[in-house]
Amino acid sequence: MNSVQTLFFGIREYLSPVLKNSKFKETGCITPEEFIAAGDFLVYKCPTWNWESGEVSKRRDYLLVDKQFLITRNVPCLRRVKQMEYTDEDAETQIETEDGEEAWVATHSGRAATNIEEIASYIEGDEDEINKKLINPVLEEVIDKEEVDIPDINDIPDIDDEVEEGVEEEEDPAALVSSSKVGNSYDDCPSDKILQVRTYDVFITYDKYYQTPRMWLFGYDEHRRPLTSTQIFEDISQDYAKKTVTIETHPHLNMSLASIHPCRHAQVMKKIIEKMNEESMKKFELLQNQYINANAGNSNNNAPPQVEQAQVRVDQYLIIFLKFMSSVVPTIDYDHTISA
Amino acid sequence: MSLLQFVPFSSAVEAPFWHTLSSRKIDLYKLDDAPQEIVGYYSTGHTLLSQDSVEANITMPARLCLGSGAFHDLNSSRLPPLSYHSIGMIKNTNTVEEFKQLDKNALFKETTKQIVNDIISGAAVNDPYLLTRFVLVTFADLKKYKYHYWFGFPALLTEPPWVIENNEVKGITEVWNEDEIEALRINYELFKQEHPSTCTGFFLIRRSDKEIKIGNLSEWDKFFGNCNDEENERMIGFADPSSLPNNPGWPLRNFLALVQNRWNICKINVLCYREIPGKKDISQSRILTVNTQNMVKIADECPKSVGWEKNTQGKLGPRTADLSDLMDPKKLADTSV
Repeated sequence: MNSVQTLFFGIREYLSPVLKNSKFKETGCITPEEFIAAGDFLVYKCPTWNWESGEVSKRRDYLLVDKQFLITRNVPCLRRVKQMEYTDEDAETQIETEDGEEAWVATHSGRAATNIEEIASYIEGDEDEINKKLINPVLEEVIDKEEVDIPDINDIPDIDDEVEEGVEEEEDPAALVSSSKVGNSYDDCPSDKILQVRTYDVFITYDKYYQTPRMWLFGYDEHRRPLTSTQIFEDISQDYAKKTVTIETHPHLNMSLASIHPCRHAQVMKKIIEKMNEESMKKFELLQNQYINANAGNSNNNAPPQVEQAQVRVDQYLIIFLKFMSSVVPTIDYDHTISA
Repeated sequence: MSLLQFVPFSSAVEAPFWHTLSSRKIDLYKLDDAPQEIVGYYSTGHTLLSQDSVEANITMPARLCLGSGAFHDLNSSRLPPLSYHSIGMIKNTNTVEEFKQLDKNALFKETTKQIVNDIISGAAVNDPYLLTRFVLVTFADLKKYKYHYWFGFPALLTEPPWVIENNEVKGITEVWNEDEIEALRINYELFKQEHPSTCTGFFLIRRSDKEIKIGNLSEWDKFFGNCNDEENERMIGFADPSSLPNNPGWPLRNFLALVQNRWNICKINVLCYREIPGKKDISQSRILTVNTQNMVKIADECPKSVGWEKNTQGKLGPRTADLSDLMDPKKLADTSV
């Protein structure tokens, strides 16, 4: 772990002159170097993410060879967005009362924001607070249980129903016969059952044109078959599906994936970062006053709080970006938490 | 005494794998359908605990994954974080008829034989990932972007089967104290850093009142020398892909076969190591004691094995991945906005 840390700090130091000239606070955009620094920070903080190099022929020379894009695999997606939208006001109020003073509305509640600006305005409060709420999203009970019983047309296979294909298996009492059930059913599910859910592989690439990160999704159904684009849209907040989310060719793989179009990412990121900086400046001033009061009269025994600590650093960019993305894909439970 | 039942692997093929297979078929193998070596990976199982009482806990299946790096050799194939290598053989047929008529039992037996040979020769002691060998038969319909496939995860049959002593599988937190659990986690992290990925999925543990030690299978005799069995000091551990409380994952089957044949063990403590990814939390690990009446050594004759994956209907049969939506240029034109 230590070596990772050393490496990480090494990289950060190496890049720091670049970061000082950064325009990310003014524009919301980041440079490829900053993307890599932010990616390193994400991988360090959330080890389920890692760097990949992708197809050799599609390598971008402004990124490091082994750090072309980020990926996290097998991320569970418990329910469809539609199911979340069945709920009434409950979900929202729950979130509001969790911490009395600031009403931060998670779009998890199904009350999806109508446009991207609204999301930015929702994401206020300091980082810890956002964390706290996103770590414990209040998810509501699935009301429509009947949906589970509708047989899935996709379950009818092509080749599968044909001949036995000549495989012989011995009697095997030591194999657990799968008692798994397909997800979305929450009634008295005993804890020793495997609940099958959709999973996603989530990618973050660097979009050179928009100078922002870009998120890509590849989904698998409960039986690990790739999802169709129609199915993927079920997991995207309805206000985004087919508008800001499109199916396009992955820049580093020979494959088409659903992607959240980055045309407004910079604006939103700028807003979120501004809000976070404002909040933490307030906190900083409070701390500074406390410090001055506490140290009045006696000589310094503690270092005064530094103003830099109160500002969002560029290497935190992707963590903030992921929180922003979680409003577009509210049901995909990827790791955007800061563990330490 | 209850029967020890193992959770079978569920195959999880990443879509880029099929793409890589297609391009290799076209550019490299052409009509050559000789089996090729591939590299898979698996991670430890864990349960996502529900945030409130309404929801059920989410228990993920024990996945054996194949990514686009599956065709690289072991050293250059990059292992996703917090996962373990597995090695397999892919047989890609040229036609759907060949796929149907292929003698799959023979392929399965061949892989079983390799596992047995690795146990007898001791190769599996140095590189225990060899215990997780698998077989994959495929037919790639390149025009329709459809892939028919069938995984087999051979496990040697033990007769009579292993049973769980006292009928108890306990959570690690019920048996060990917090300091011990943390010591185990840290020592295992160090063990993983110090050893190649081919041997970190299976390991030895010695728990005394002073410390928790982790060892490599190849140091068995030295590591367990003057071990006090009465005190339950001797323990084997493995990275467990299962997330079920009472059932360890498939890799333990061949591991137990190795332990029994190599070191004449008929009763042993087992630690099912389960880590919540990225959370430095191993509190979902399970501990059990297993034993068997089987004293028969794996003879020259190949023992019986099981482990063909069932399809989505729960029957023995192949599966199909349809990637036309994501790879077919015609269909892509329809969905793009």
